[in-house]
Amino acid sequence: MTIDEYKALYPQDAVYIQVDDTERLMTDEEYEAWVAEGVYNSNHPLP
Amino acid sequence: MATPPDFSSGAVLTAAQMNAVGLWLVKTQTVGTAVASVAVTGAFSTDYDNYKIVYSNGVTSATGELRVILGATTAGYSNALVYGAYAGGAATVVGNAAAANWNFMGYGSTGAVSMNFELYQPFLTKNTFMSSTHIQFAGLVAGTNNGVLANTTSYTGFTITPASGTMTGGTIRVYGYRN
Repeated sequence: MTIDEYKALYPQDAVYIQVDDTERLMTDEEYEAWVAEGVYNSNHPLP
Repeated sequence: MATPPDFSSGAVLTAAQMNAVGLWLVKTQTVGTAVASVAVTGAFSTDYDNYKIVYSNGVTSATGELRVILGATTAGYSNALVYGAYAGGAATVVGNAAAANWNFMGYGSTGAVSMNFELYQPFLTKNTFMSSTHIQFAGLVAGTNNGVLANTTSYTGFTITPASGTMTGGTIRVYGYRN
């Protein structure tokens, strides 16, 4: 999966960070880091 | 009166009997929709040294493992997963040394999540130890996962994150083992 594919699957305005009962959208920096990790993990699945 | 849980109808419970109850529900957290991570705060305290955490009835958008950190710490997590295939055969060990999180703490798919782990002394200013089950229902393997967070920080909460994608729904329950 590519970064663009991942972003299309999970747009920044549709993914949330939850702390207890409060949810918020990610900052740009948080989103880019989350996408990078998600793409890496998607492409390197462990057992 | 018999030792709990064999209560009789109308019985009055004594302090001694209530103090013999070994596991208490400390916190319940409902998981939202399409969340990249869920932080559960205010879960650990002086009341209990050791905890059991179960996440059930949720789903993940992508099939894969769930990861956990304590507080805001993103270093020093070590764990080893020993797993085998449901079809049998030799066990495999996957190590995770001095990492940014504990991996293989659970598993999720679009159909379900499985997560059940125990934390030993997360609130105490000692190393925190972890034991978890890793049950895959898509990957056809299951195993046991144990590890340590090698610092002496006192923690009050934790965060669950899928390796990729998001989580939706279900409930995280934190139980404390009576000291």
